[in-house]
Amino acid sequence: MGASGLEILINVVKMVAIFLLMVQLVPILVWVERRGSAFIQNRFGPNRVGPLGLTQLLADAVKFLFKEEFRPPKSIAFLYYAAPVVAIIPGALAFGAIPLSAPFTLELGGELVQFNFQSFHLGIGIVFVLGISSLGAYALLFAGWGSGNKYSLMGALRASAQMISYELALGLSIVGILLIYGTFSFDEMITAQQGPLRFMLMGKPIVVDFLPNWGIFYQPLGFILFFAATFAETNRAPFDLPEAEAELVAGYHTEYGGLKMLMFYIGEYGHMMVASALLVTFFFGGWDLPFGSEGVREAIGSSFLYSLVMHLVFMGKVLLFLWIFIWVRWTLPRFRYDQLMDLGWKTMLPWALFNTVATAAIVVLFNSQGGLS
Amino acid sequence: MTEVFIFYIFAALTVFAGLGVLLHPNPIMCALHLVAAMIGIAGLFFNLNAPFIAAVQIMVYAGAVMVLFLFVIMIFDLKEEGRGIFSYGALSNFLKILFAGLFSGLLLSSILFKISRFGYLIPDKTAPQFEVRNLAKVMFTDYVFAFEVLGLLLLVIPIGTVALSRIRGGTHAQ
Repeated sequence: MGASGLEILINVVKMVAIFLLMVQLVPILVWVERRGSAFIQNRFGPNRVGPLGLTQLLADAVKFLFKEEFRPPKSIAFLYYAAPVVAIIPGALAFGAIPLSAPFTLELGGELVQFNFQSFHLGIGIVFVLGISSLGAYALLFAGWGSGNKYSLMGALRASAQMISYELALGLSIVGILLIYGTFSFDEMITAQQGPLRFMLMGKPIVVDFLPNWGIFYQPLGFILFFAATFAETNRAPFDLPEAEAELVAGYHTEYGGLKMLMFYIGEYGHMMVASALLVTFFFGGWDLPFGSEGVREAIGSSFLYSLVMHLVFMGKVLLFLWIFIWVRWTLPRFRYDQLMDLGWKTMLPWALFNTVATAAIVVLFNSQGGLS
Repeated sequence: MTEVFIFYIFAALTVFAGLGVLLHPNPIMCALHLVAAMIGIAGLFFNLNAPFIAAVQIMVYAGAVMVLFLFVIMIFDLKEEGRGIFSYGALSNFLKILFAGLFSGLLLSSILFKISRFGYLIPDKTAPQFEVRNLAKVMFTDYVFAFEVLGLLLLVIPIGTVALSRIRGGTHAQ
């Protein structure tokens, strides 16, 4: 792709930084999950080690690292050890392609160089992220088949059937948003969502000053479908059938312990972060502040500091969605498997198709592309 | 220079994974090798400045089709399938070699034809940056008939599958 050595080096450094960001968020999320679940279920949760139980995570990390390493004798060694690694990589790669903040410019050797706040920039970002994150299913399949355990295998079978079913609804639910913004690029999509809500209706421009120009106002149905499908894709409750502990012990990761188990956790939270970041970028304006973005830029002045502030805005939005993921997990009961399949194929897929056709018809009839008009 | 380096990495991955598909005795491992081959091909597409095709290759083949393959292979009773009529015997081997030979010949002749007409297939540095817009324009104007026919063909497959499974009594057959 015609990249110079320096460019490759910068991208690699950024990739490592974003991977570390992802990994470092996991302990905090685990803490939030434990304390949050305790709060929801009227318990205390871990509160003994350190203030608010925060250093419980350190104790856990030590435990994970020093647990005895073992492998079930009937497992397939390559698949068994590859599965936890495969669980992490797709999430990290997909997260690297999402812009986490505004691009900033720095002076390097007398030249102004623009840096993107993401590990690599792709014009077809959305297709790439969806494609890469769909590879996460292989972690579950590797683990299920490689463990040589029937519960694991059942978990892997459920995982693969579930992934295929919900990938259709997931893909179709964002076709509406693609039609409205007419781009595959995250940057263009975020640019289109800046400013107040405005669109063309019957040839007349309509501006709503008190609402931001966010995708959710154009695609409410698409948002609901995408949100529900991401729960299934990340294997979170109420769609965590692959690890249903009441039926399958622990599903695909029955035979894993210690650090390998932790890597599955990181993978799951990584996929949650990718899903939240996608939700924010598609429907909630990405890293952009709904109002006063320009004012902040002028008040700060420095391009790099502005990027950092916008990154905090983005992470705030992402953390909000991560909290909703946790909230839902401890609120809703798990689906039965036939209910899961019915919901995917008979409810979400037809609605997603309807959303696609209706959006296409409206875009063509009223010529009302949001944001771009 | 980087392109050549990346090409050899992905080419090696694709070739070794392809050999694994053919030579590994376990069908699950064959399917997993095929996934690796798909990812290798996607990497080659990326290297040829065709990121859209690369991403679609990963999303459709590695992400959806191969997951379905693995699902089906895991459900099958593989020992039973191995006793099927086309799994052993001189006739079966003859047919396998015949069709593999025909297919390789077809592939080789088309590649040789391309090279003889257009020269070696190297990425064109002067070509404009790839855009999905241009791809869509070509696909939905010049080739819209072929595109629709392909869609119809794909529609026939699920209808046929449902019809066949219903003849045998559906999911509740004994």
